[in-house]
Amino acid sequence: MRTELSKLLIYVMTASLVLLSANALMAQSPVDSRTRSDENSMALPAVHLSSVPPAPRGLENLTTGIRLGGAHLSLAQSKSHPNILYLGTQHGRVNVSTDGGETWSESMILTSRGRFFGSIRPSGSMTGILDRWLSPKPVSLGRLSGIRLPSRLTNLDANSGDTLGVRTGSDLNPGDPLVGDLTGLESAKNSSASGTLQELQTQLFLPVDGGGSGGGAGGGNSLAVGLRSGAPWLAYQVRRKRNWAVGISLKQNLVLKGSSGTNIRHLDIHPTDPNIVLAATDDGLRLSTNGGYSWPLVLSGVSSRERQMNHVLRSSYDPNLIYVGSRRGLHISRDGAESFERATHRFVTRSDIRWIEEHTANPNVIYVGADWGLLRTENGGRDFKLVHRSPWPNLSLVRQVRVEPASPERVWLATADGLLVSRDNGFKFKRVGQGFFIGKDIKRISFGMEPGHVIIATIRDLWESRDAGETWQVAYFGAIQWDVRTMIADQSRANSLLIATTAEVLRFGPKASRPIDGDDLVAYRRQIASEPDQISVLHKALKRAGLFRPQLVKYRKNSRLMGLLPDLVAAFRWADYDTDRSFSNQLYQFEPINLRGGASQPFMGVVFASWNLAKLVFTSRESIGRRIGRMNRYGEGQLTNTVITLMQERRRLQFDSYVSPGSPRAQLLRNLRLEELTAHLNALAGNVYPPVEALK
Amino acid sequence: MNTGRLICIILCLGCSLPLAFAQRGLSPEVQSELQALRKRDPTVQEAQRAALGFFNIDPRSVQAMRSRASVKGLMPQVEARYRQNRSNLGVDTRNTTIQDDPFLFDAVDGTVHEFQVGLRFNLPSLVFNSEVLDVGSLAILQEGVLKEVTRLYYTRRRLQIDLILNPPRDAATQMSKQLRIDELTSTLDAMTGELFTRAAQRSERRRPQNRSNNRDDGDVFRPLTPRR
Repeated sequence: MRTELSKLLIYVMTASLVLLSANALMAQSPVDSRTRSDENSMALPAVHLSSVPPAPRGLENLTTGIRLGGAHLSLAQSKSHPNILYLGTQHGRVNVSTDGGETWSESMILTSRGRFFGSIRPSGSMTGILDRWLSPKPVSLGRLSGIRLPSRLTNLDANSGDTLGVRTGSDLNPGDPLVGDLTGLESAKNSSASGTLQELQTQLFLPVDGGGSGGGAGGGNSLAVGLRSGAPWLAYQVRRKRNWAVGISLKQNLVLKGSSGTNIRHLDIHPTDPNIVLAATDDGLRLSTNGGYSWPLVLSGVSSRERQMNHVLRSSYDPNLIYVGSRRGLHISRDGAESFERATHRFVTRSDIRWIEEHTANPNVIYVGADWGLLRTENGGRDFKLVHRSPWPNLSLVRQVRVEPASPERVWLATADGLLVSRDNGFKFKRVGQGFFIGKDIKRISFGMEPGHVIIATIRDLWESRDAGETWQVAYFGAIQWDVRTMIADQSRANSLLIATTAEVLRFGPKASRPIDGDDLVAYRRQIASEPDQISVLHKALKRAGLFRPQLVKYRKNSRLMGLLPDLVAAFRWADYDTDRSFSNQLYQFEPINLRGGASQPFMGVVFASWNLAKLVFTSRESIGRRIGRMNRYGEGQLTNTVITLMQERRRLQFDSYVSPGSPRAQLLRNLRLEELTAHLNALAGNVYPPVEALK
Repeated sequence: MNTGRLICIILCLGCSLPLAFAQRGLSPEVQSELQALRKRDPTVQEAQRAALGFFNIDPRSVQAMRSRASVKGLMPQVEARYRQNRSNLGVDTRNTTIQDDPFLFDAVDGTVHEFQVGLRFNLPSLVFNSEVLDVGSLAILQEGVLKEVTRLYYTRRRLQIDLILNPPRDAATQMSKQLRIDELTSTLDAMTGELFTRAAQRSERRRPQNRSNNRDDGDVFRPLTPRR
């Protein structure tokens, strides 16, 4: 008995050991099987696509259930810890995932530095009813250069017949309390550097957050004030001042404009320590050594162009050797971003550097892609040679350069106007793609394991070639909302790519078809059937917003009937006349000899009615080509897009919750997103769904 | 042999039970904290209503604007004018062949008070008024505010949940996440007329006793002890 028991225990322990070792081997296999050439290409390693007929591939959305703020611009994956991902956004937010993209947390906001905490922008031709009395004129660039803000209050209504105007005196200066309270311009009062002021103006007039055109149409005023968050008192006070023309557009600008963030254009993770990350931003190069919680600035510049960092590359030969491409010049650090030196060659010193790529076999050969061509150095950045330039500007605008790891003599060049390849170590480039890619913006390039297997990402699609660019086929047709910003090889899974579009993070690679339990599917369908369908929710939302097209068309058609009703003018006059007349002849007597008195209270009434019968034939209000029609169409499109997007995501999440519920944490986060989507849809369409409570 | 099987089954069960429990759901402490979080904060519907109200673009206001715009043709444009005219006319007559002084005097005094009212009705606007359609433009703003406030609300909520599910073990991380939550709270406050601050104050007033019991000692650098 005891012998049998001990045998059984031995069997159990042996089986456990076998399982554990197999698990460890499986976990290591993707890393161990990497080729030397893959390890060399640190920035974007090769994709492991096997030469056997490709397995079924598909997409997995890693951002399902999570709404990340701002358009995604950059994505990086740790080589040593492939589950750690960093995602940089347009608004300066860095999102970190430590579980391979299942969950994300917003770690830090990089906000562009500035002495300004508000913003003013001109309104164009916008006129509002308040302009009839008091109208601060739009801030002019020229006047602002002299630090004088023309907010003079003058009577602009020349047709009113009044000669009285309101004039408060001279122009408001930056030190004036009104200007200071509203705009923070007093911080610019003592500005000494003209560059700072010029940049300030650029930020004012070219808002990067969008919404710059938000107040551009009627009903607004000519002065728009943007306040950053955290100033509720000021916002409230300004709103209370309804007599001011600034009150109207403020509400549009508080939310839509807000403060400008910092584009995070590229992220680079240290090869061995995933907590050390370099971020190339519009506000300089930032280095985080604590996994993204803080981002001290390690490289900046004296002008906005110099501060804008487009790309950062850590050498695969020496992790302390870092190349940084800015909008004006190339910087090199040889001590791990402690200090930087500037490349002084005339080709790069003032160039807008877009991409830097190391040769996979020779550390001294570096390719530098600028917005006007491709440069090549053979001595680590001292001398450069122009190897590609085209008279067609877009063909010279380099998006990415890649040296093919398996065949380093082939250098691939992605431009804004197609794909090029050099088969002689990067000296002569020519187009590939049999005309497929002419006029196409090629965003990123990646490689397969076998020589000649190339995958490229255009804005919307993935293409691949398995014969070094001779023939091409579509690897994946992207969805209509795709706007690919970056594509990297997925280190955690063989044969996979990670793709960041502006709104999603996707994994493209082998994907087995998922068996679905029939009961789950039935339950999901029942749930969907019990809810209002997409088109009815959309119609409700449009009706609620007053943008339902049939109603708008009907209302516009009625405009012809305006001709039946007259413009009616009625006038009434009451008067009271009282007069006395005395006549005296002093030859007779001194007293008046004749007295007359008169009194009258006349009343006059008149009514005019004028019919514009021409309107019965045609009126331009029938058409939607005018400003309000355009605004309605824009709003309708925006709302339609929002409702359908929200509904689609909601349906996907509902489907997932039935067929693959996942862990409790995943369920909680999914339910939270469902709650958010439902609340948003209910607010837009008016309580069409029962509210979801994820925390209940 | 049967005993061996039994032991094997017990062993397997012993190994798998904790995992099964962990998978089944969240711990009671976590669940109670999540419930407390739900009760403490305003709901997203309240935040949406407050934000739309703060910007004066809530659906009821917008609908009222639309209705009023459609009937504004009933109200006329009124022009009123008051005129007062005082006249004092004196005519002297002299005959210089007789004497130089005037001898005929004709004096006329008069006062006029006149009141005029003009009304202009734009009756065609009862049929069609482009301002009715212009109000529809507010939908863009409405949608923007809704999108922003909902996004901020749930970004904040996710961070709060993250703090509960993965409590930070170092002060810097805790501080960093708390700062982010505070920033989002301020932004939401700015959009909703301090809804969140008022809710927090109400919550504080309701539970002064609990708060005094659980009050921090104020040392932000003391090591944080995980609560579970």
